[in-house]
Amino acid sequence: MKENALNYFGKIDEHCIVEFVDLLNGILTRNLGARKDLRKICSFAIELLDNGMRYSVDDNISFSWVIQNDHITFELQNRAQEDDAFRLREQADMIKSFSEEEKNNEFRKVMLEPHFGKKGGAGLGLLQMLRKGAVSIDVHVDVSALGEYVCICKIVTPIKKF
Amino acid sequence: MSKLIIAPTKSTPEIYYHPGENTFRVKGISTPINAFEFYQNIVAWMNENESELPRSATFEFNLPYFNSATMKAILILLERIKEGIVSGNDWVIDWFVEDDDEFMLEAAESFQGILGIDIKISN
Repeated sequence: MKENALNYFGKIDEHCIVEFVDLLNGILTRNLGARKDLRKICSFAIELLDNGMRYSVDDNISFSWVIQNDHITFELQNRAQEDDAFRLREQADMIKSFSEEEKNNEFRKVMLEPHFGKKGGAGLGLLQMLRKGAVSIDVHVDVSALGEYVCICKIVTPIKKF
Repeated sequence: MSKLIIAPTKSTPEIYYHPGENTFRVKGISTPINAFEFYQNIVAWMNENESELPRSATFEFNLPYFNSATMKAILILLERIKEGIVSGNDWVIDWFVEDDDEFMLEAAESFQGILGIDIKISN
C-alpha cells in the first residue's frame, strides 16, 4: 500500500508550482517531522514542475509523488516538442554517467555560462537533483499514435535518517 | 538616488532598498519562469545608480525556495556585488538559513565556491 501519494493532471504555471511545494512541505512535515532536508526534497518537485511549465506544449502536466518507506518518487509527464523531449533524455543519460567530480565540474560550468536556455531555463535542474542526492533519474519519451511526444521523467530520492 | 522596491508575488521575492538604510533585501520564494529578467532588473538598477551606491552596505538574501534558473540569476547578481567589493566597497552578503536547512545552506556554499567570496550565514 502506498503510504502517501498525490496524482495531478492539469494546468501548470509558476504559481501552481508554489502551491504544490507548500502542499508537499506540509505533508512531509506532518509525516516525517521537522527535518534539515525538507526543502531539498521539495526542490526536486520544483525542478520537475519547472521543466513541465517550460516545455509542455499545452501547459498541461501529469504530476505525481509517492512517499513510501524510505524514499520518495516524483513523476512528471508532459507533451513536448520533439527536440525538447529528446534533449532532456540525452541530458539525463549523460549526467547519470557522471562521477561526483564530473557533476560538480558540470555544475560550475553551467552556472558560469552567461546565457540561459532559449526557453528561459538554466539547464541545471536534473544536474542539481543528482548533486543533491537523487538516486535515480529516468527520462523516457513516448510517441503517441497521433505523433505527439510525451516526456516522462521519474526521480527517486531517499528519505535520510537523521 | 531612487529607492528600489519590488513587491513580492506568489513566485517572486520582495526586493527592497531604501536610501539611508544601507540594506538591500531579497526575501521570499523565487520560482519565476523569467528569473534572468527579474534579477537583471536589480543588476541594471545597481549599474544605473553606481555612483550613489553606499560604500558600506549589507545585501540580505532570504530565499526559502527557488528554482535552478533563479540560482543562476542570483549568481549574476552576486557577481555584480563582488565587483563592488573588489573595487573597495565595504559590502557584506548575508545569506539566511532557517533551522540548519540543507537546501539553503548548500546554495550559499555553492555561491562561495564559484565566486570565491565570503558569504555570512545567518540563522
